[in-house]
Amino acid sequence: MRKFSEQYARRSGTYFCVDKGVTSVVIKGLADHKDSLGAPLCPCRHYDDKAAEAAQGFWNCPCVPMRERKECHCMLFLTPENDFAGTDQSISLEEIRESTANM
Amino acid sequence: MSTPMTHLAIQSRLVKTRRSPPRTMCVSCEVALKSEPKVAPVISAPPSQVGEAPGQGPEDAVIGAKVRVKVPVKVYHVPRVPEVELIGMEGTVKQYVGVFRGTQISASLPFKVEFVKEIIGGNRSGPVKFSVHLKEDEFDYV
Repeated sequence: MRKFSEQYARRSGTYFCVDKGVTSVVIKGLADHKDSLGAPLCPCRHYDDKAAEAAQGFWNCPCVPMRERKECHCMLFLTPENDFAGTDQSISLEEIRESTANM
Repeated sequence: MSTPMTHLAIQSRLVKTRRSPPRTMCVSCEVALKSEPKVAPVISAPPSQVGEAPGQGPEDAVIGAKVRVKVPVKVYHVPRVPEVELIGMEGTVKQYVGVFRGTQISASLPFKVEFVKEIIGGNRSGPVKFSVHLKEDEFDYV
C-alpha cells in the first residue's frame, strides 16, 4: 500500500500530509484491511458490515469521493491548496514503521 | 372363469384410465400484475429515508429519473476533461449504491448519475458520457 499511495499521489497531483505520522497510520490501516478483507477499505470510517463494504467498493481506496472529487477525509491524499498538504509524494518504509511501531 | 390379469396388464389399464389432474381456473387481474414503471414522481419530493428494509429503499423510486445538480460540484475523473463543474447540468440516475445485495452500505454519495458532456474543439471533440456519485441534497428532480 505504500507504493500504491506514492503512485496514486503522483497520478492525482496530490501530496502527503505535512505530518507523515498521519500518512503512515492511514497506509498501515489500508494494508491491514487488504490483508483481512482482501481490499484496502478506508481505515478512517466505521462500518456495520466490512465484508459487504469491501465487496461493494465505494470505500475501497481510492474511494469514490477521492476518485471523483479529490476529497480524502483520511488526509492521505491532499490537494496543493489544502492547508495541511506537504510537498512530498513519497514516504519510506522506515518512516511508516517508526510512526506505527506502537500500533 | 376369467383369466387373472398379469401385473403388466393391470399397470397398462391403470395408465389408460388415469385421469389428468383437473385443470384449475386462474383468474388474474392484468392491471395488478403489471409492474410499476421505475420513474420518479412528478412532484419533486426527495426519496424516502435510507434505512428502510433492503430492496425497498429510494432506488425503487429514482432509477431512471432525470435530475439537475443544484450545488457546485467539481469532478476530476472525466475522460479528456481535467475538471468539470456540474452545477446546472442534467443527468439520469442510473444506480443507487446505498444497498448492496440486501445490505445497507455507508456510501456518502449513494446516487450514481450519468451525464453527457459535449467536448468542443481539439482533436477528439464529441459527447463524453460519465457517471458521478451524488447525494440527495445535491440535486433536484427535473
